[in-house]
Amino acid sequence: MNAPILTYVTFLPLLGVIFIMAVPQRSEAGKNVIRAIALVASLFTFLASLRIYHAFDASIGAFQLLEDHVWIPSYGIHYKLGIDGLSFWLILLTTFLTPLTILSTWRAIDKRVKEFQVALLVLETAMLGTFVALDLFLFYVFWELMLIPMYLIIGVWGGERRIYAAIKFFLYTAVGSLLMLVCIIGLVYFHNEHTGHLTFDLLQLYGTSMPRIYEILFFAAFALAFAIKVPMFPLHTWLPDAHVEAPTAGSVILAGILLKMGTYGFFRFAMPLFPQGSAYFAPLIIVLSIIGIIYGALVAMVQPDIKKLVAYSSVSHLGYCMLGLYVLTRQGVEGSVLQMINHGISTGALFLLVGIVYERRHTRLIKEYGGIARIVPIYSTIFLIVTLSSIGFPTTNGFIGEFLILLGAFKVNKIAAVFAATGVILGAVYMLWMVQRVFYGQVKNPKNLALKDMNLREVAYMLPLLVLIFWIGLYPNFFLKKMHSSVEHFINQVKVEDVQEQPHNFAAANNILQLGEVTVLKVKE
Amino acid sequence: MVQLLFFYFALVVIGLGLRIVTCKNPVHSVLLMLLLFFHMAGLYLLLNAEFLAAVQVIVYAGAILVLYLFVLFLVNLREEIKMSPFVQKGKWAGLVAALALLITFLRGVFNFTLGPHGQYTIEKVQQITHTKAMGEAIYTTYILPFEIAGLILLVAVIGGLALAKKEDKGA
Amino acid sequence: MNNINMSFDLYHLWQVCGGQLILIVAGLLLILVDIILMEKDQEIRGRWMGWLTVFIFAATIGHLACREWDLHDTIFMNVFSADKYSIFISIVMTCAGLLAAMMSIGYLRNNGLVRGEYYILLVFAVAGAIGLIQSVDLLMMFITLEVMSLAIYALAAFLKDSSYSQEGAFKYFLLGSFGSALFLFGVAIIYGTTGTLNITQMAQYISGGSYSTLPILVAFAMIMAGFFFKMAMVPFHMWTPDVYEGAPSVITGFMATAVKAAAFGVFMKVLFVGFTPILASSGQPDFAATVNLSALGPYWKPVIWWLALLSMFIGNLIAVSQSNIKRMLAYSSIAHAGYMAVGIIAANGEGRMGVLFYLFAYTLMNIGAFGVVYLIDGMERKAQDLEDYRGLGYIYPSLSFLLSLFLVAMAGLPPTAGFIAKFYVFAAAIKEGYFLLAALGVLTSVIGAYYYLRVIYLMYMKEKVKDVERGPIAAPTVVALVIAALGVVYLGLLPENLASVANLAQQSLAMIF
Repeated sequence: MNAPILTYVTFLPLLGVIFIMAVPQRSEAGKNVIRAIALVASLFTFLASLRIYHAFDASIGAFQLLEDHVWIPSYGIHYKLGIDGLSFWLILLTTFLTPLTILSTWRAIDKRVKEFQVALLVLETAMLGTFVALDLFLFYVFWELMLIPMYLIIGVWGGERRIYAAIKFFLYTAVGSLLMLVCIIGLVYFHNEHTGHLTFDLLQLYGTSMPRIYEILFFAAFALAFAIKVPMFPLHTWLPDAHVEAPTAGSVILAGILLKMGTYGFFRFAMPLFPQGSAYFAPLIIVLSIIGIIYGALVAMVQPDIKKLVAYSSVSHLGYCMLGLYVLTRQGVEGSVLQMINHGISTGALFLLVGIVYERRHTRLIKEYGGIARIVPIYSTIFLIVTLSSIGFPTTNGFIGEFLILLGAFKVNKIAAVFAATGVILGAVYMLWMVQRVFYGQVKNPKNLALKDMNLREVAYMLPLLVLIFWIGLYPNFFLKKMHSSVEHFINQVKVEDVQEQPHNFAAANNILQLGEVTVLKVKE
Repeated sequence: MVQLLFFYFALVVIGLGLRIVTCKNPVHSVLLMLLLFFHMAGLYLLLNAEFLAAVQVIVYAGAILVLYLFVLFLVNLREEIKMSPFVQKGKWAGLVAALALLITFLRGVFNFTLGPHGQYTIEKVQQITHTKAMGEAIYTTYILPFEIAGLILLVAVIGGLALAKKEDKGA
Repeated sequence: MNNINMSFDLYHLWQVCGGQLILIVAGLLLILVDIILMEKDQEIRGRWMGWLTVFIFAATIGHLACREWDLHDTIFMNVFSADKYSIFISIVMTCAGLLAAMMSIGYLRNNGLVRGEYYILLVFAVAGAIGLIQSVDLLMMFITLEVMSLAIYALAAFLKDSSYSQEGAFKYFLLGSFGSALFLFGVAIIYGTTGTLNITQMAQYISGGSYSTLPILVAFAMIMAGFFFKMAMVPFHMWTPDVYEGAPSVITGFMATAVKAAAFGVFMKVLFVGFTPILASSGQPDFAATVNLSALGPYWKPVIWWLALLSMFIGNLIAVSQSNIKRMLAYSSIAHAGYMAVGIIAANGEGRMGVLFYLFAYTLMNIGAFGVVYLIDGMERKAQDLEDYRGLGYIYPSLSFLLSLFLVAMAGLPPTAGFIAKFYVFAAAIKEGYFLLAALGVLTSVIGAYYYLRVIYLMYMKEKVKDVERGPIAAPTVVALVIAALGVVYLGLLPENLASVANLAQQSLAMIF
């Protein structure tokens, strides 16, 4: 094993924290230095994560780039890192979004800059750690470590009701994750009883046999923790509050990466660890996902606040991710993974865009705007593109993700797919309606006449996102091919019943995707 | 006969104990305590512990109570300081708890089986006299607890001094 | 009856109870020093006494860790044992004393209370606590318990101008005496039924199996109640908030940690050596005997199960509604007692190890928290309301950061010692199948997280409403706080060292015979 690259990537942001600590923030120059250090640290992290891209071998379904050191030997706790096709993309997404976020806060955060950047970088480390940890204890440590910086980001730099939102965010997440901890320990002891081997190593814990009732119970606890993070339908109430009150950067991180923790948790932990429990709860989760898709869309439609609208659209989008995971077909799962990345990009971009007008007008109410397309043409163009990506317009990334999920769902459960498909239509309705009200028509509010268009810095951080939107939209296979074997591996782990699909169906679907010409005709097959 | 005496002493000790706590006048309390100590000494006598009985009378009744009285006269405590009870509501809860405690005690006592005896049986104590037996026990087996019990007094003295001494706020 | 083995051997005494001897002799010397310094300036006197005390504690820790740790199953005159278990807890308590002494130098100066007796009492309190944990004789336990308690009653009342301090100390004294009386009654019953006061001999008697359960259970309940008073477990917690609020802040920190450590330590010793011994008398595992010995398990386990749960719930729930930070921490300490009790219920090696680890971690974070509280206070009770903490994060950034760290540790969030400690005790309980207790327990820690984080949000997310002027910061306090903070983080990242030491300590509990 050569250089421990995952460790480098994970802890590089902390190095930036150390430098930032040394800089006084009294003067404006000091603040700029702090911002620059944070930006450089996160850029370096991104560059380092590109090394992972080269080191990652897509043909292996199992974990790779493993690092393993003993941490707490008496409990068999290891410092074990490793990635597969899913975490690979999520790491890249994290390291990619963080510098953009830091750029976006250049002006928006003017108070307590140092603390903010420190919180952001610590948060990045925690998020990366969560994605690379292959030891349940280590995973849990990183998972909880995310809470405090996010709590502070929402609570200190947030909007009007920030404290309420921060506490709600914290308590929701803490309840779920603490129950998960209990079940992690329970699982470890079941494994210990069975094999005489006390370990928190995820790879060894896969396939632990235990009474079915415990498997269901443990899955429920894990699922609760992750479903709160996703968030799934009845547990989503913290999300709009947290999103609306968080500063732009917080919202971007929250939507772009933190929500993925939930789906990632299902993919990595809850489902493969407890396939029986997963199968038991599958119908419920599918139904809740569909409710989430439709409910999120309907509620988004009536929001007067752009940010809240985007927040509810997240509920809807993440519903797709969950649905995709649970149909347990290759298309579905790959679509789901892709949709996680898409959502990170599109929704992240939307929050950034909302942040840009908010910085100028200090309001996010739709009725305050109207007809601004003529005043801020660049902004409007970018907003429209991102909107199209969010509603799954062909040639953008959203289309590929949603399509794959629906394709997967159709094969397994046609009714679910039909219901889920209505979400696509509703999504188009609320997003386009919002765009229409904000950008087109007459300029009613005179304050908007003085609205400035995006400056260079803002364009600079939006541009990479736009590139990705089209990249994924036009050439998804670049992304999908990295996850094929991991997804297959995952499905084999989770499937309880006999495999229904024929292998050549996989191949067929794959060919179609590679050509990028998916037709409705094939779907019906 | 011995049983009768025991119950007499025991009941009087309990009754006096209650009276001492409820008595409003501290001087009366001290005097009642004197009586209580005598009855305790009686209990010791019933146990063949004549040395302990004598010490009880001499030290407690003779020395300590006199000190108490001195202190009482010195501070001239007339008015009783009224304090509200710690737990305002819950007289009944307290009563229930007390009753439960009593029942626990009684059940423990009634099911009591005497365990193995130590080296000092009644015969042996009678043979070598209680004073000698006690001296031996204290100065050999229990020398360390005995010494450390002295530490309690030292700590109490220091604590008392620290709390009673007038504060020299200057400097 | 001049038994040769019973003869008093000074060297042996020094070997077994060196720590206690150092403290007792040093305490006596401190009295002399105090008299010698009588004429000197208050300032100098306070500093001298304080630094001497710090030195005494440091020397004691050195002696305990380097010399006595390597002795084991050495029993002196049937009353004291120098096993690793006792030494571990002794070190925890002496550390608490050391940190408290370091902070006291600044605290007493800030409060204009330069009194030599304070340090003398502190030294004797720790001496008593070490005696308590080292004793294997119930009578000795009672005596040393009283030495410790008396010193702490006096320390709690040390703020003579404050009616809160007086009231708290008075309550503590009355209820503490009540607890001691219960304990003594239990001891008497034990003596009557088993004919011995020595817990190892008691265990032998119980392992014989020919005893009537009821008196033993009643005695056990009494002894348990006596210790639970000191541990501040529900329903014996009533005194805690008043005493913690009234006592001088540093003493509160000391009381919450050292006394808790002593009570937990000795309770576990009585429980696992005396009542349900973990191993047979040979010092080797003997399963036939263990079955006989664990016969009391069905009686005490449900009791502690409920008390632990109630402590966690009531402590955390009432803490939420407190407006005074010391009162809040008092209720939190009740909750922490509940968490530690979870480790006792598990009744396995991991559980005991977890409790020992927890005690150490709790000592660091709690004394640290009270240290910050006293610094922000300036003068006692000047700024103790939670409202006073509004916006402090930007006025006193480093103090606020430290307080946040300690509170986060108490909330049990990684990567701090508090998280690892909670993990150990809950893991032990889960191993024994106490899923429900563990699940409910972690849920209460969410309530806990709520009020700990409330302090953090007041400090960082609210604008200040009142000018809070902290007192001058004394150097030793800073050192103590930094030590505590580093310890909290270090134990959170690399717990294995301390855990393995605690595990050795816990194992030695089986060897006391």
